[in-house]
Amino acid sequence: MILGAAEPAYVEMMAETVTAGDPTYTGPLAGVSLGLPVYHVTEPEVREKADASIYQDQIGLSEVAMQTDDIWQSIRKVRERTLGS
Amino acid sequence: MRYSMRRKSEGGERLDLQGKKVIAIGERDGVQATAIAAVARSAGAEVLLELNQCFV
Amino acid sequence: MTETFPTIRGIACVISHTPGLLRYGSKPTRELAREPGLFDKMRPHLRSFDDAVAYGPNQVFIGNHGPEWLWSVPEPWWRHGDEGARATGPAGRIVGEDHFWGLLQMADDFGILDIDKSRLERSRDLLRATGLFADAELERAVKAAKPPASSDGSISLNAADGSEVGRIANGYPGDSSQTADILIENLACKASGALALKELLAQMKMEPGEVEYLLGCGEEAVGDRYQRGGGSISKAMAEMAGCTQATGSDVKAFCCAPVHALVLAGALVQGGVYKNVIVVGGGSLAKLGMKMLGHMQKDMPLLEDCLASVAILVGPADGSGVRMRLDAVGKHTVASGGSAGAIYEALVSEPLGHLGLRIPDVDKYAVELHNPEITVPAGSGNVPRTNYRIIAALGVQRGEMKREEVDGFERVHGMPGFVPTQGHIPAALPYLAHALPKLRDGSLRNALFIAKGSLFLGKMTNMVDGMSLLLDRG
Repeated sequence: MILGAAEPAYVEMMAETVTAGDPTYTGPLAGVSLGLPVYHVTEPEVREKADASIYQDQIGLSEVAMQTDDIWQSIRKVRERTLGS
Repeated sequence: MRYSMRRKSEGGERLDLQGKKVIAIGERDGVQATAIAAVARSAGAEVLLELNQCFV
Repeated sequence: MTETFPTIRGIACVISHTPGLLRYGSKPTRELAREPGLFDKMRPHLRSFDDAVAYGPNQVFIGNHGPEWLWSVPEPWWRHGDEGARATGPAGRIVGEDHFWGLLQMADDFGILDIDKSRLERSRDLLRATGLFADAELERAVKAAKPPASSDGSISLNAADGSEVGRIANGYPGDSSQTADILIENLACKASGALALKELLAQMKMEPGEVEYLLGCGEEAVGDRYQRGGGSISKAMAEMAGCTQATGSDVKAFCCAPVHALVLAGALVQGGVYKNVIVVGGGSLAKLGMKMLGHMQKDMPLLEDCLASVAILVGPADGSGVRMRLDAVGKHTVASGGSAGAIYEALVSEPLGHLGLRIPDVDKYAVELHNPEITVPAGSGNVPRTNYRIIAALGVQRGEMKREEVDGFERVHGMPGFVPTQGHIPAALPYLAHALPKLRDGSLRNALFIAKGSLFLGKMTNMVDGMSLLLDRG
């Protein structure tokens, strides 16, 4: 699963939802562990496998606008906790 | 609050999107699903689903 | 291309503080269905009318302060009310739920509502004190147009303190597009929109009969089972506001509709079809309490307790010098693409390019001006700030700005969000209340109004939409 949201807190919640299960217990994934590998589109894991010009066209501007360091930290934390990677 | 203005190079080798099935969940004020999907396809992934969210 | 352009003559911005109606918002309705006891936990988080009036962003909305003033207010804004706050301002006013029950009654032509008489009499007296309504109109606030409809499927209406105010009935048995919860949304939209119309007419010292056409830009689906969303709530608002010589239609494009409607209004004037066209947007009851879980978790007041509405008068050039640049409308097309770069090129750099302008040449950008104090605690981010960063990044990418200027762009060319999260209402246009006086006196050269709409929410397309319009001095 690849996310594009701009807000670190939301990215963390969404990542938690599709790995360990909905942390807010409000949606259908409450208590359901999908264990899906989840990345943010700006993370190096995605970006470096993508075609550089397509990446620049599609994401370049958003990347400048986003707090990518905070987003990466949030999503990595969830991956480490829930997927062990 | 710190914003990244440049590309960073660490950690890119752990995920291989080639042949992977991907769900793209975008956001109106972030990156939209169509843009995520284009990037994922360029890395060899098959995009199963494109969805967007709006928080307002 | 002609050398004269239509102008925007005025805007009214009105807030109806309706904490009792908060529970009928979409999110609270769903949460209360899961956990009926939740309302007792919500109640301590509801704000008083005085708190809603003193709330800095609301004071900005009705024009008592410029948006930039919020940068000087310590956060959280809800803890630091404006000591000089007033319920009226140069752009509009704030009314309370005690006013609003009577407005709802005035909006009901079908006996859908059954509201306690003493509440309605109090509303009538409060509405009389606004000076916006004639005696005959005020009588409508206490006298039902029709006897109350059947109580089958009706839901109770409650005040903020939990006391029952009355009931609202279903429109037609078995019609899922006219259930009581949908009708209260639509009546709240009609009532708040008509109040903004009244406010605008008073502000402009204009007779209601002078209004020729209205364009509704709200998102409510007014209709029945055969034409869900059939529309023209704008004409219903016009009738309620006494605009007897007007008709109207609704423009639908999610949160992007207000800028579409403004462009269309300008075109109707430019084409000579009408001289006085009003764009009107009623409040969105569905969005009350949308972020309530985040606010309760952070022990904050439920700030989404306000229906916000706007009415904007468009007319021919009037000597004020303010011009709607219809020769350079920005639009996101089907072919534009969904990346941020593609969207903002379509909405910002392309239209500016037509006029020979670069990104830093625009004094102020009005984007979606959602109040960040509402969105950030719920994990939804600071919407205007994200938009300003993208515009600035585009400026850098195009070589029109230096990279070091990105961080400061919001302070120089933007503003903090100050508008309640009411869907279409925050879509750029409330800044007109601040921009128009400055454009007239020359302290602002130009401003670009940008709105985006999440069309994908309707499941008919994965696209967004976007429109932009530049105002400048001629």
